[in-house]
Formats: sequence, C-alpha cells, structure tokens
Amino acid sequence: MSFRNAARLARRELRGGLKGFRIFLACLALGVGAIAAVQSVADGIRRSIAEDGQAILGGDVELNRLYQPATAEEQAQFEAAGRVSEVVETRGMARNPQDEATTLVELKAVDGAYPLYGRMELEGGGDLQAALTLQDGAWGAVADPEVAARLGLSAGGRIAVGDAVLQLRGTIAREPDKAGSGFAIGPRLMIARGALDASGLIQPGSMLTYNYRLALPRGSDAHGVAEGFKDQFQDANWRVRDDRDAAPSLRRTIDQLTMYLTLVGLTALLVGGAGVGNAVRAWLDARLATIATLKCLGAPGRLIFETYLLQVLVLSGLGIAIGLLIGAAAPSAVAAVPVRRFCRIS
Amino acid sequence: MDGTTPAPQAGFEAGKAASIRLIDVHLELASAAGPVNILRGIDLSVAAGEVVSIVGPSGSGKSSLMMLIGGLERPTQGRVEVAGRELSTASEDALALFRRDHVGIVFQNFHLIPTMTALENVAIPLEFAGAADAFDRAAERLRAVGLGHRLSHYPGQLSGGEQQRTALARAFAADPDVILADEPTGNLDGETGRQVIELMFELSRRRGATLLLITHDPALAARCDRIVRLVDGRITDVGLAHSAALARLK
Repeated sequence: MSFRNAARLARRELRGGLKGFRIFLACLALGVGAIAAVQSVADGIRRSIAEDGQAILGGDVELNRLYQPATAEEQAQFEAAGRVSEVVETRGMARNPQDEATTLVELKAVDGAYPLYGRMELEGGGDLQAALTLQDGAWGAVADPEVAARLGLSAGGRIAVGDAVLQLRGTIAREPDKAGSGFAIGPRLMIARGALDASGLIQPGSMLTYNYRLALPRGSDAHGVAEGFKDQFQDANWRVRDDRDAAPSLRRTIDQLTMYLTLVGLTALLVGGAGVGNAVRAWLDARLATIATLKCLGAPGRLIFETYLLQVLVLSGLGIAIGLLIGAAAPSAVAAVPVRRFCRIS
Repeated sequence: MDGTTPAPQAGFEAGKAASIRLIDVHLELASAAGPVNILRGIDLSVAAGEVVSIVGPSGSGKSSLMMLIGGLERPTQGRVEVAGRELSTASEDALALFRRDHVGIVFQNFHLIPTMTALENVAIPLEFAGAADAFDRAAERLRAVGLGHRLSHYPGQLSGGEQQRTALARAFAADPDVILADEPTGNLDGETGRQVIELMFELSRRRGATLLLITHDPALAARCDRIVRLVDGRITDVGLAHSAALARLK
C-alpha cells in the first residue's frame, strides 16, 4: 500500500516538470552518453575490423619479415598454400625532381596480384595495375593527395624516389588494407614491385618489410594455416597473422583509447556526481513545504522517502536513457565526420 | 486572572470526555543564542466537540502549542493526550498515523500541493488511510464546501478563498476528532474570511469535531466556546467566550 501511494504521489509530483532537474539530467546524460559513445564507437570499429578482416589484412594469412624477402623455398611453400601477393613497405623521401621539394612518404611496392581482397580505388576511377606499370620508360605511381600537394605536383608530374623517377598517375581514394598497416608518419606512395627494384632502395640493411599475403582456397582454415606456418618457420623471424586479428596495432590502439576515454567518462560522471548531488539537494529543498504538508496529513517517513526516491529514480532513468541514445547515435555521427578532409587539413 | 498558570481545565461541557489534555507541558528549543523556552508549564483540557480559540501576541507560543497537539513537535516535559492517545512518547511514524486518523490541520497559507488537483489534494488523507472510495469521498467533501465545479483545478487556478475551502475539505476529509486551524483567514479578505469561518464552524459542528483556532481577531475568538490567552509561553487567561456565556445564561 505504501509503495502504491508513493508511486501515485510521485507521478502527481512529476507533473511539475523538470524544473530544478535540468542540471541533474545534463550531468547524468552527458556522463552516461560519453561512456556509451566511447564503447559503442569502439565496438563498431572492432566489429568492422572483424567483418573486413580479409581486406584489412590483405589476405587470409599474412607473413611479414623485416630486411629479408622470402627464400625461393619459402615462396614455394606460400604458393602451395594459396594465391600469393608480395607487398614491400618502407619509409622514404619522395622528391620533386624539378625543384627538389621533398616529403617523407610511406612507400608501398605491390605486385600484380595486389589486392587479393578488397578494392583499391583511385580518384576519378582507373585501374591500379595500369597506373603503376612501366610506360615509355617510366614507372607509374599513385599517392595520397597530400603527396602531390606537398611536392607541388599535378597529375602526370614526375616524382623521384631513390634513383627512380616515376610518373604520378593517380590519387588514392581508398586503400583496402590501410587500417592494417599500423602507425603511419607520412602519406602513402604506392609503386610497382619492379619500380622498387629500380629505385635502388633495396640495399643491405634497408628497413624494408616484406609482406606475403595468401588467399587460401575457399573453406580453408586460415587460423590453422597460420599456426602451421608459425610452427614451420619458428627460426625464420616471420610474423604470421590471420584474418581474425587483421589489425592488431589498430585493435590495441582502439582498446587503449577506449579504456582511456572510458576512464575520462567515468571521471566526468564522478565529477558530475557532485552536480547531481547538489541538484537533488536543491530540488528537495524546493519541496520541503510539500514534504511538510504530506507529514501533516499523516504520511510516514517511509512513504515520503519512497515518493522522492521514486522521482529521483525516474529522472535518473530518463537521464541514463538520454545518455544511451547519445551513445547509440555516436557511431553514425562519427561515421558522418569527413575524416579524409579533416586529415588533409591537419 | 493573576497571570500564573491556571489549574487543569475540565471539559467545557460537563459529561463530555476530554479530547485534548495537556499536563504541565514545557517546550524548549535550541537556538544559536542558547535554549529558548517556548512553552512554560501549560495545563489545558478541551472537551470533545468544543470550539476553543487561542489568542495572544506574536511569539507567545500559540503555533508551538498547536504543533504539540498535532504531534508535529514533542514536549520537553509533560504529557500531551489527544483523542485518548499519549503523544509525548510516540514514534514519528506513530504520530504520522495518529495525524492521519485523528487530526485535520488548516494553515494560514493553505499549503495545498501545487502539482495536484483540488480533488487529489482532498483525497490524500483518505488515500493514506487506504480508503477504496477516496476520490468519491473527496468529491463529496469538495461539493460540501461549494467547490463541486473545481474538482480538476490545480491550486494555482483557484482563488485564495477557494484554496482555503479546499484546505478545509482536506482537513475534514477523514472525519478527524480534532481540527487545528492556525489563523485560517489570515490571507483572505474580510468577506471571504467570514465565509471560510462560517464553513469551518459549520463543518466542525456537523461532524462533532473539536476545533482549536488560533486567531488575532477578537470578534472571531468571541464566537468560540472558550478563549485561551497565551502570553510568553504561559496560559494567562482561560474564560468563556462572550457568546458562550450568553448561551449559558439563556
């Protein structure tokens, strides 16, 4: 009976609206919203990594090693497992041969099988392999827009990498395995594997990473194949990954960022708790006359407590619901942010 | 009167049981400047159905006396018995239930709950008592005070007189034994105040409730059965009101 009376009184009192409760709601909604947004965005990214594992990794299985390409024997074993694509990555200086302007680039040399999964897109369309091929004695290159901007190049302009002078034939609109490449300190410059040989950058001690991506026959157990290679090449310094963990560095970054931002959100919620406490106290102070009247009319302390606890709980639920809505909307809002444009500006 | 506290008063009407009995009641409240003696040895007995006015200057302890009788304050010393119950030692919740069942209070400032309609305000004590027909009875009480057409109006939509009539309906809703009215016309104009007083007297007479009325209005006090005068926390005078004395002579 007491609880029914409390619920009835609380419902009637809540007709008074949210007056005095706006700060309470704002603190709660923002705190919960921040945590929910961080978690839902992180969860969305993790899910995307899992769903697009093949494209992000560039294959079902990837083996990579610093300094040393695969031996003929290793290459044969890779090819026995599935289709193979060789990608060599390094950092280097790209130059404008006309004015000697330079910029650091993330250089990526790909073979004719690249990409095994996903779709490489150039701005304005066009085929990657056609853009990279040797034409009229010059290898082709495609690059992130920043490269052309920093070197003052226009389409078809010349770009020098090591000893090779390449023709810039396109701008990268989408690189399917970029998320799996880890931390980048420069824009992407993509060239053909043959162009890398021509650049003279392959020298003993050069920091080149040789990646071998394998597209396994349909139905293969990528994880099992990866584990098999790990056992087989225990002493060969190969780092082996499969599409279940396509972007470990990105995953680690997301995990750390999520933890950090969740802690920030929790701290904000705790700090907001002081605001919530003050708001509840002020709200109760404003209702002292009503509480006194109810006591005069014969309301026991428990009924008064339940009546006001219910109201605080209802309004807390409202604040939490608003926060969760903010959190649910966050992935869509983040996805709508023009990241490329932002990156270009920065 | 010699200014000292008189002996306990018997019920005004012989043969009627005492509805309110205060025996050597003291009330001392703490303040920054030290303890303040609000009431100093009050002895008072009010018979069931009696109408008593309490008069006296501001700060004389009238409202505190009413708080003690309503179980809203506990005496520092002495006994307070209302409707046959000893209040001095009762717990907070027991006092709340006692008020629900035996006391109706009318305030100068009405103290209606602003987020509730007139009907809901009047139904509260009945709902607290678990009455299944709380709203029917509340509507009947409001019709009895001439507010049958204002059931769904909120206090902010009612005039001062209508609010006080709603408060009267609420005070009488659960048929209490005792009605405590603290300057019920203090915020009303003369004519409206007169109507409210007539209504209150009529309701208490019809229901046989004991009425304790704090007032500064000598004419209103004179209409009661007895006048209790408080000065500085002591009862200095208890006497028959003029109208009651005349009635007795007749």
